[in-house]
Amino acid sequence: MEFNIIATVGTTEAELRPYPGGTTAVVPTDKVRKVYSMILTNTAASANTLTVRIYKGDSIEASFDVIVPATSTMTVVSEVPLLIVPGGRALKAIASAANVLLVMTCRDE
Amino acid sequence: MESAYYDLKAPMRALVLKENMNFALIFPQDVRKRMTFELYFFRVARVAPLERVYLLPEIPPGELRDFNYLGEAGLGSGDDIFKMSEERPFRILHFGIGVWPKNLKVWRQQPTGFTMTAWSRVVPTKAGDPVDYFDGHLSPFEEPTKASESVMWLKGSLYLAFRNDEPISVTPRLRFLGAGYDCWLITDKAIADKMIKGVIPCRFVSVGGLYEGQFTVPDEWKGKGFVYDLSTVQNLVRGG
Repeated sequence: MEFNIIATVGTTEAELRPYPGGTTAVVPTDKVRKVYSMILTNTAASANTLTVRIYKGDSIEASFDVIVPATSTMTVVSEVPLLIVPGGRALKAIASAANVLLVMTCRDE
Repeated sequence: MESAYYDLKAPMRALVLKENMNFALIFPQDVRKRMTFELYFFRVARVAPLERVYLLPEIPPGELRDFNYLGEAGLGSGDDIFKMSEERPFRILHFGIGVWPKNLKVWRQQPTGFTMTAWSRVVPTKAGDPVDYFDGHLSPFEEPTKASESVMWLKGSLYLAFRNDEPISVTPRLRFLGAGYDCWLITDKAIADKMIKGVIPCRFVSVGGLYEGQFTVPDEWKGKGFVYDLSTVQNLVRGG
């Protein structure tokens, strides 16, 4: 089924857990987590960089940056997955400065 | 219908019986080495569609809800929704169980205390085992399938257990879809034998999976079932 990840990401790394009720950011080992849309809001007066990290155990296996302009909202929607996280990996994020509000639409398959 | 009968994903709506069809419920007597079963034969007199959507309490991701009855006031609370009237000993419910969400696993006990299984395990299966469950992939909410085919009768019992394998908390829904039958109990051994031989068409339903346990039937059925073992069946098929 589809679900959301909703998080306020600041300068301390945050786990991106399923909403509601998700107790872990780790993708079940027999599934892959596909991300189909992402909304990012930066309320600060200067640009912010959101770094999304994929962990395998304690190690960062992959990461990417998204630059969010000052006081703006970015929406990315795709019919094909924007991001595919393999089973057993954890999805986390950290912002370079102020908070970034993040909403993802996902599906575990 | 017969080819669909062997398809685990056959829609339950295609498997319900119609008036004047025969069916037999198969209960175990000795399934160790003698393989002896007691069968009750019925002819369907009346049929009416059966449907109910049942809401379960919210279940967090990964959590298990152990075997319990489905109560009118919630899981394990209030009257059992399958409780049947003493005045209707020949009413039989025949239904599939549709499951939402897809990754909700469902284990069954019928009767209570005997987990439905097809596997051969020394340790009885229990809720949460990696075997003997069905889920919303196998029996979707919108289209319950044979994989969840169940029967209920007066003095029968059905307990269910659940595990939420979705990554989020969910409020699961079950959809019971099938039919209720008013039946005539067939008490003529010669007719029953012809059904065993295949001369008279009959749908056979194994009750409760391949467990070996006790079962309870209405008083009105007692002494009117027929016991078959291998030698009896061989003799019948041979033409005896």
